[in-house]
Amino acid sequence: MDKAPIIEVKNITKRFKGLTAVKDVSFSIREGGITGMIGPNGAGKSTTFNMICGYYPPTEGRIFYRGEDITNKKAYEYTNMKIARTFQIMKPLKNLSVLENVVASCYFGHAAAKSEREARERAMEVLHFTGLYDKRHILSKDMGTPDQKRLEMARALATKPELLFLDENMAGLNPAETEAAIELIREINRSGVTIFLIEHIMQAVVSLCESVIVLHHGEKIAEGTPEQVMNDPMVMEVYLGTKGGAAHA
Amino acid sequence: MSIFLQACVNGLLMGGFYSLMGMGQNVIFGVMKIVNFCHGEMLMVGMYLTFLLSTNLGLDPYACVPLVAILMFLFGALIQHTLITPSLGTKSFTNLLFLTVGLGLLLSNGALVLFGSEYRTIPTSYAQTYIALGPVNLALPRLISFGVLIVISVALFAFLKYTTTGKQIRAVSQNPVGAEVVGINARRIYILTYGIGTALAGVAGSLLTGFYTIFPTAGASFGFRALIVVVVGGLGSIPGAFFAGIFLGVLETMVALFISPSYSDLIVFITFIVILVVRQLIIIRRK
Amino acid sequence: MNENVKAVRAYRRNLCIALGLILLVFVLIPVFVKSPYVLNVFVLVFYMSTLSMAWNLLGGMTGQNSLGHAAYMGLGAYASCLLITKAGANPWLSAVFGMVVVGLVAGVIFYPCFILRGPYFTLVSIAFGEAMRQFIINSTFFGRASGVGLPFGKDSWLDFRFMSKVPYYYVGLVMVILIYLLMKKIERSRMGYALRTIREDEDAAAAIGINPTKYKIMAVVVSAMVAALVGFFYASYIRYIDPDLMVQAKSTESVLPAVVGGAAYVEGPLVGGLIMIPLSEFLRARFSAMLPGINMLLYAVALLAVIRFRPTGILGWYMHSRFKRFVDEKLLRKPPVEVFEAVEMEKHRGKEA
Repeated sequence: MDKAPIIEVKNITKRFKGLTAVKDVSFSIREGGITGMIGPNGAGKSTTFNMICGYYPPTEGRIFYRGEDITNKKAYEYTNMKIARTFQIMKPLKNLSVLENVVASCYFGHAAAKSEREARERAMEVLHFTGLYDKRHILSKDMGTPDQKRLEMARALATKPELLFLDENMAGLNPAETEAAIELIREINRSGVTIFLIEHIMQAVVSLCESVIVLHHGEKIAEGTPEQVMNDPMVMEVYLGTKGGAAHA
Repeated sequence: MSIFLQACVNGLLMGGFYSLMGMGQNVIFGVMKIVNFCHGEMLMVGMYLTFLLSTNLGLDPYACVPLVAILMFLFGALIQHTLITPSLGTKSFTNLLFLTVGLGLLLSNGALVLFGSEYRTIPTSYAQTYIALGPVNLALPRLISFGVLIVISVALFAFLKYTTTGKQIRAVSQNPVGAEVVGINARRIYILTYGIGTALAGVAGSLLTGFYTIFPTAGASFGFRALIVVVVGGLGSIPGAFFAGIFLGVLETMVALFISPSYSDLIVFITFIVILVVRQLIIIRRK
Repeated sequence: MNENVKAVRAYRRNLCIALGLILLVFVLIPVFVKSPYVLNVFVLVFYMSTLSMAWNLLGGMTGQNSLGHAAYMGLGAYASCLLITKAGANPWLSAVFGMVVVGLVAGVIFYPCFILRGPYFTLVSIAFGEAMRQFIINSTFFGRASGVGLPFGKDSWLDFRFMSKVPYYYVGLVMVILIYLLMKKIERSRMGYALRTIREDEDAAAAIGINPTKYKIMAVVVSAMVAALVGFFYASYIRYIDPDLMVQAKSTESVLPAVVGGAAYVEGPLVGGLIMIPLSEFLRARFSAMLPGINMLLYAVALLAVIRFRPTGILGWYMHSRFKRFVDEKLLRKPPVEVFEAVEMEKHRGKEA
């Protein structure tokens, strides 16, 4: 690790009315790479994710971005810091066309477009990149799940992030669609965007991530390369099951 | 002192109506997450129904209450089935809101067309009967109404808490999809809920006729107070609505007593805004 | 010059001609129509449509359903009237004063309400309207329930005072057009995209860098200011205001044109106003003597029918109708969307070269 990490999470804990969802989790995200987080349902993945995205602050602990403490930043301040996110439950702007969805994003964040023309032009570029160009005039509520997932990414990319958080971006996709999504994520990463993703699908995590964090019952139980993590006895036991999780992989 | 006590009691007796209205509103909001902006007009319809029944059939206003409850239930169920349920599908809260606003407009102007703008009352032999309770004089109709209100409130609470249908209503209000998964017919619950909410407003109207004048816009102030009750008592909470209603009634009479009757509306609305704002600020702090 | 550019230019020209013709009709109406009754209906259409556009910025574009716009209008009317009668100020200046006051009041009152979501905004907007009305009824300074009258006198543009309805007609027309252009401008601006994103999903809005509270406050302030302008116009036209201006039913009336016309469109309130207000006035004139309330009853029926059977309003229906296709293709000769985009790209390339 030659550079300082882009994100450093230090001992974050989240309690909801007595229930501890995340307990004393620390990890870091390397700039330029793809880092993944896995764990069974209820492991605290989404809670951790939401805390890093400023959706709610942690009860304890600090989060640093390029050395700056961002623990208490509001969700809407993130795109100004060149960070963008997607949602697990897709939130397309239903009654707007795909193009308008992306134009809206182009108007905000650190590289906010100054004029309508600039916003539209940038939106077109993003639509080409994400393969949604041909569907730009469709209302986003009329699209299927794979395209809505793509739109989630397109809207995040339109804010020109340097760090992109993806929340279960491949859940609900069939193998071919997953393959296409993986390719798109690689492409985004190659263009210089650091990626942090939560995923259920092992195939995606193994083939994409250089580093994986495993959560269980709100605690971090393993961290390392996909191979290391997959062979970790603790992970095999609690997450993949003793049979090695062949069904999932 | 006796004036103060008298005002307290009067406030309490009036507050019971706000409670009943608030509970009806709360059941509807809890289940469908829509604010029923024609709740006050439903009360007015209940008043006119009582008026019609008692003048045409010679029934005592209180004897009309069960009949009004049934008729209003059917009326509410019909509205839910023909108007609200189809619009729930569009997921447009603007439309749902203005659907109920439009219904309110329809009902109050319908009453104006049918009955004119005259103030009407239902004369009863006991309208001017007072019962002395220590230093406090209680008007008999108000007392009977309050008694019936309490019985209905308790019955509603028990219904929601202990009966199967009540449990189903609560299930739908917590998670409509989950409720459907376990086999609850959400549409039927919606119809039932709106019927119950409407019936509660109608009963409140019916109980009011013993001592209140009947006119096409009589429901407006009750309708808005029901909203206040719901917000102050907590969206979806039945006991909250009950106590908030009583509180509102007492507050009103206190303002009328200590400041001036003409200020009571102003103070009520300002109190509402202040309570809402303060509570929101507290919630944000806690987050 | 290529085919696409020609097609787009031809379409733009046709559109300008069509809009110009419509405008011409409105400009010429007072020349041919002398009936004060009919002119009055048009003035009513103008200011109610403007009020409805103000509502629509919040309700249609931002998804915040206000039921208190009569209060902003009334407050604007009171603020400007009192400045005129008590301080002898010029009406045009006091219009600006009224707008600023109402904008400030709305911004301060609604700031806390926007922090939480849910139906709270609607409830507070009603409470705010009622509280304001009750306050005015109890305040000697505001003339209590008997209201405030504006001085009568010679016709004068400086004092915005006329015997005839014709000047009000033209000022009203200019007001509608200016506010329409303002709303159109907002819709296509950053603010417009922010508001529509908030309407669709506040979390999604925050995720791309929109501060929902800030933009909702902006919307409520602009909306209240436009309503205050309408209040000033109304007061100058009727020359008398009283607290009845602010009753709840008036707020509801200000919403109807937008909902009936199509709240998702900036043009919705105009279309709705042009249809609903003459209808309501006709019903009032025709029936109210025999059956009071019948006009509002039919009004309510129209509203319910639109919501039940055409949930996106008249414009929502028109946008997907064959009639629109006929107008676009046959009358205006609108080229397909791809042609517009091709022209836009070409311009872009031309600039780079």
